[in-house]
Amino acid sequence: MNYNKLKRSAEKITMPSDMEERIIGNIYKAAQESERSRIRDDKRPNISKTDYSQHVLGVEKYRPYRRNIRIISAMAACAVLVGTLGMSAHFLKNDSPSPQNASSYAADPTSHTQDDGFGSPISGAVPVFFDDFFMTNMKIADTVKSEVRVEFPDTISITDQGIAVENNHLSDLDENKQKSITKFFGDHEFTGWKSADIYDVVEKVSYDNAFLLAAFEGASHFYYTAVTETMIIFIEGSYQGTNDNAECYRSSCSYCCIEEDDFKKFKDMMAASGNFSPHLFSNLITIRKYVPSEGGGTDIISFADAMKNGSNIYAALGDHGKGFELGISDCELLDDAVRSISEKAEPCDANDVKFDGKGDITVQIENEDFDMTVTAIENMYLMYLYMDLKKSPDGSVRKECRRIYGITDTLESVIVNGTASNVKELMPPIDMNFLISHYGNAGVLLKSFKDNTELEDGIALLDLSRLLYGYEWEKNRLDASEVDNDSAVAVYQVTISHYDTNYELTFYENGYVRYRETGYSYDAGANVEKNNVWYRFETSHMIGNIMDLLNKKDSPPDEIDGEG
Amino acid sequence: MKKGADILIDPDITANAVRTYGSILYRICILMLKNQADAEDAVQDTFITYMQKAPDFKSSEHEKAWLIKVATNKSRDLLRKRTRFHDESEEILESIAAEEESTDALEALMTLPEKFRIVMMLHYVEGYKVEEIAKMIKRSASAVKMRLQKGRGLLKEAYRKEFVQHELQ
Repeated sequence: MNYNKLKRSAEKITMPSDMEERIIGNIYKAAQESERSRIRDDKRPNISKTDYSQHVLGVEKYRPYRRNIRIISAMAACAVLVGTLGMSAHFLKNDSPSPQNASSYAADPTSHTQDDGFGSPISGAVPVFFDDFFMTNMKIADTVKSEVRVEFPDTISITDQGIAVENNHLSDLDENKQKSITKFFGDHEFTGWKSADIYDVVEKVSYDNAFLLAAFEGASHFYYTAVTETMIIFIEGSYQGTNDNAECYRSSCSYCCIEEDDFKKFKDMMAASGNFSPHLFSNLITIRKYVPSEGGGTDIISFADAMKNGSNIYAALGDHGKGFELGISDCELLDDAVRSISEKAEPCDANDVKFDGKGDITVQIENEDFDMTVTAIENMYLMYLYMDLKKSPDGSVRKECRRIYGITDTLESVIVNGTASNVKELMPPIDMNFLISHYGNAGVLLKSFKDNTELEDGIALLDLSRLLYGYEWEKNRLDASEVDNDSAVAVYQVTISHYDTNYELTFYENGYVRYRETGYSYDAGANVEKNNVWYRFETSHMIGNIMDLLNKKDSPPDEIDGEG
Repeated sequence: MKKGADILIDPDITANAVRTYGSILYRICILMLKNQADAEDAVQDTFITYMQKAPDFKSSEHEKAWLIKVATNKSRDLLRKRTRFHDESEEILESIAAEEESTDALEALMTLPEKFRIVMMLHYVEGYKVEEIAKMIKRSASAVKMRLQKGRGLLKEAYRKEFVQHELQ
């Protein structure tokens, strides 16, 4: 690859002169508007800074975020949906409503499982919580699943206690490398290897000059040995479960240096031990690493760093307290969210935050060293709470609280985007009841805002999930040969794009529902269909859920008056 | 962070910054967003932030790096918020295609996922070092190295599939 050519090509991209003029013109406009606002502000000393900044920023296409409006939009989206599907139901004259399903949903919206819920038609990726090192350096996807009996080179001693590296083969690490390794794997001393000295490797990864071997002992214990040009890393852990729900925990980690000659021997040995073939390995594994927190004084730890630090990351809604794990892509988005917080945060007194747990969206990271919570409280601010669990000499626990205005969209976008990659885990807790509990009688609101057609797919899909809840999807799955494509007229479609994949759910007039995933394939070099499943759907089920939602009563909160 | 959104830098200075750094930021934003209107929005928002925050720059390099960092953040915000968009990669490539040289390497770059695209762009086009990129995108240097490493692999693969195979055919 000629990178100079790339550079020359890219440098030809320049800003068009008319665009430059437009931007400069808008800058002067913003400055003038700011000056006018400042004068007005001087005359009205009590004007709120928030209103002021929104006014100034409004010149620049920037629409200040208002969660109320978004939620109202969601309601409107739901109204459109209700209308569309309700009319479909009317025209189709399907079966009568199914109060049984509807009432069970209303009674306990958190109790359903993936078998009876929306998780079936959109069965997102299994949550993967693999750290950067293994995902990127070890190229997990290129693993081999074959029984390979591995013997380590002579220089790595095999003792009764396990595999050990003789001291004379350890070399000193420079400080930077130590920090780097510590960041990834912690600073535990190497204490030996509990496994057999020679063990069956069931997973083997090769990536450039690094190898990862995985061995399993029975059904509950695993070992990883990663060998790179400069070091050997040992990880030991256990896992529970034997299927997609398996959770794995790392119990210890150690590392040591390897001499160049030893690495060459190892490399030759691996090359001779068999061919590598692709095998997906990562979906079953969750590694939660432990790394001591990096010094003091860091007031905000990024989610990505926290993830590397071996945290248990999950999110929950205050209303239901139901947790769900987040995948790698969700964590990256969360990282961005927290970065935004760090840029915009203004410290406040914890007592200022009214936190009652109802309707709040909480994302929490915790491990042995710290407990960090980011909570979207009601509609105007996020609370960021960081508790360093390492006690000070005086026994106190460090605690910080910040209040941030107007950035709840960041967290919300995480939740919304997250649905695309991890729908079945993320969707169940976000339901219409959550919105209704805060915004009163849904029927009144839907009527009030039915003309608002601003529809956001992500939110619409979340709402849709509530309406589809409780349907027996698997029982109603259709074979592709049963589907009469010609008579399938789409009446409603929701599409979400997430990274390289489009998730699409389409309702047809004849009662079909199609769930489809398409995305770019590097192997094929083109967009390909990744999943395409058809179901027969009884709209009466949805009508029952809608009726149930509309009958739910709650007092409208004060905020509605202000936003309406 | 300064409260409010007062304009703290003389708009003339900001306008000069647009003329000096506008193309660099536009290039970065358009490679991230693959859409000219979105790129324009991101660049404009970047300079508005510049005018409002009035950071105390130590040098012109510091100023440039700050602007790139803000522009990448603005672009990411846009990427997160939009649910559908028109991919204008072809139009962009056509508009810059020179007679004497093809844009196939750039075309291959534009097929990479965003997180690889930005580090490849900053390193190979803008010439930033790994540590500098790490500060800009708030990732560790090792994470940037990994992305560069994987990005190179993906770029080669994309280039090979898109162009070498076609040439062979």
